[in-house]
Amino acid sequence: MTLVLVFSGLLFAIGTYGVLTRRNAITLLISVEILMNAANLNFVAFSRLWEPELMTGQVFALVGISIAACEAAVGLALILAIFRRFGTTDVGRIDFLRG
Amino acid sequence: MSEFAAVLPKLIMLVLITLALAIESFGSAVVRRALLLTSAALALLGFVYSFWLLDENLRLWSDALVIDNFAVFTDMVLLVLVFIVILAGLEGMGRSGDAGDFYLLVFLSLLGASVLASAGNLIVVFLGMELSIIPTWALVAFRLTDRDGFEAALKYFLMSIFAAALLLYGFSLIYGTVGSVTIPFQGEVETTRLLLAGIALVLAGFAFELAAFPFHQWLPDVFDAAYAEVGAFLSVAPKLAAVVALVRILSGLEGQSDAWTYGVAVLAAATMFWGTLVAFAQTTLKRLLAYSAIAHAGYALVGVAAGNQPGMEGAVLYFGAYGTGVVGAFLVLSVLAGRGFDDQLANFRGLGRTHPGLASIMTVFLISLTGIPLFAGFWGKFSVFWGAVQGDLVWLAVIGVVNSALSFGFYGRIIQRMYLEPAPLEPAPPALGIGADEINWPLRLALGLTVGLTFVLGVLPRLLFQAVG
Repeated sequence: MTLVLVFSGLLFAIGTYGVLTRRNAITLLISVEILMNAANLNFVAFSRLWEPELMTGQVFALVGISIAACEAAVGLALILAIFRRFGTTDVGRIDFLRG
Repeated sequence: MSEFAAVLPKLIMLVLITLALAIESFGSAVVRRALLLTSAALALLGFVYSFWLLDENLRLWSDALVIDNFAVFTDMVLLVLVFIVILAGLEGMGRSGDAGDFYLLVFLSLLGASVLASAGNLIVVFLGMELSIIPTWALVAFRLTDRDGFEAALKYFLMSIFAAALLLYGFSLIYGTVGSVTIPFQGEVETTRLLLAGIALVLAGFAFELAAFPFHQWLPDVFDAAYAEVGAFLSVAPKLAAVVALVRILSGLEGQSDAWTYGVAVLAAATMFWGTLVAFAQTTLKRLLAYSAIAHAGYALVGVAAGNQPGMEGAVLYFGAYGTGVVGAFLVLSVLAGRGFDDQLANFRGLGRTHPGLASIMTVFLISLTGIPLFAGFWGKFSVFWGAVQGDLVWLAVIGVVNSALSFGFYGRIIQRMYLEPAPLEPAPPALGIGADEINWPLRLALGLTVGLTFVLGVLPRLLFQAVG
């Protein structure tokens, strides 16, 4: 149990590091996917701990995965449209709004 | 009451989604218009029906959905809001070929907000929250010709997926310590570091959705780039639903209020100050409304921090009361945009003389936003501050009152511009003959309804309090 928590904490740290340091939209998206998978891992582990026969955690993990897929679908469409428009997916260079 | 009858308002939202898909597949403008009017009528029907659901307090499908007064109140506000949004866009967006796509996204987000507000377990909370947010990314980027829309949507998208991941991780930690996802969580829970970390992450996720202080940067860009109707929708629907879910989760953690009271209180104070102070520096109405929306999220959080019954009820009805003012201001903006004005605050100079009707209703909305008695906004502020005083957070209530007083500085400045400053000397754009083009009837109906609600809820606050409490 502790081992799983340490591992998911490590994934969380990697994901957060990626979100805070990277500037490319797709790399950011992948960092967030790592974060979400850290959470999904937790759900599955805790599900075994608390209620192995109910599988609530497994269901939560499945819902989490499908929602991550929805986010990626809309997000990648947006990133594609932006790449066609600006010729870059670098978040630092798409910065015109002020205030 | 059967399960079907209890979720009828949500089923109506599902029907709206299918109607929007139908709008998409019909080329004829007449059919599109008829379908949009049908949607508006259905939304109104759902609103009226919701009165029968008050005080039912049902839990459906192994506690997945909770139909209590908070949930029903949210459904009512959402349905009135979408009625107003449909009417406001009927002659503008409704005439374009993209009307189907546009309203499809609005209705999807509407259903998500409704599910979020009636969620009875953490899985449904997460599902509802994402369904209410994901369609709005596309709504913000809806103007394909607009550079700013893309940029705002990209920032909004990146911040909201990060917030969603934090929220999911927080949920996993809460599930890990409590052992159940059903709200309220069963039994006394031991306060462990794991649980505290979970609560902190959940607060961060909700702070994003509400645009509270450290997570607010997306909101001004989004309001700036989006259509006025989208701004009106976004400033009420997802936030009201999120505050209901937040209240439900926090009050469901029995005996843990010490863990989050001060966190939420500091969040509320920082959000109120930041929103109010930065609003002074704004030169466009959309950005001013965005920063004031941030401040208003802070006021609602005051009620959440109080943690008692009056505070929680106040936080929920806050967005209903505040919504009349902000939706109205966005509608005025949409009228002005239709006449060739952009949203520069300088354009309000002399509006009291050139467009007296518009200026007077704008004044009503601004006064309601400030929170002066006799208008709806006052009762929202009154109830959250009352909750804070009852919950021994007098200092927070005092900060709230100080911020309300400060906020009159920038709301009042617009009123001053409209009535005391002369109209700009440069010739007005040709489309803008004074009083020449009347406001179209759907938009006028929407404006009238919003003004009416601001007055009626201001004079008869019992309607609000009875719906929530």
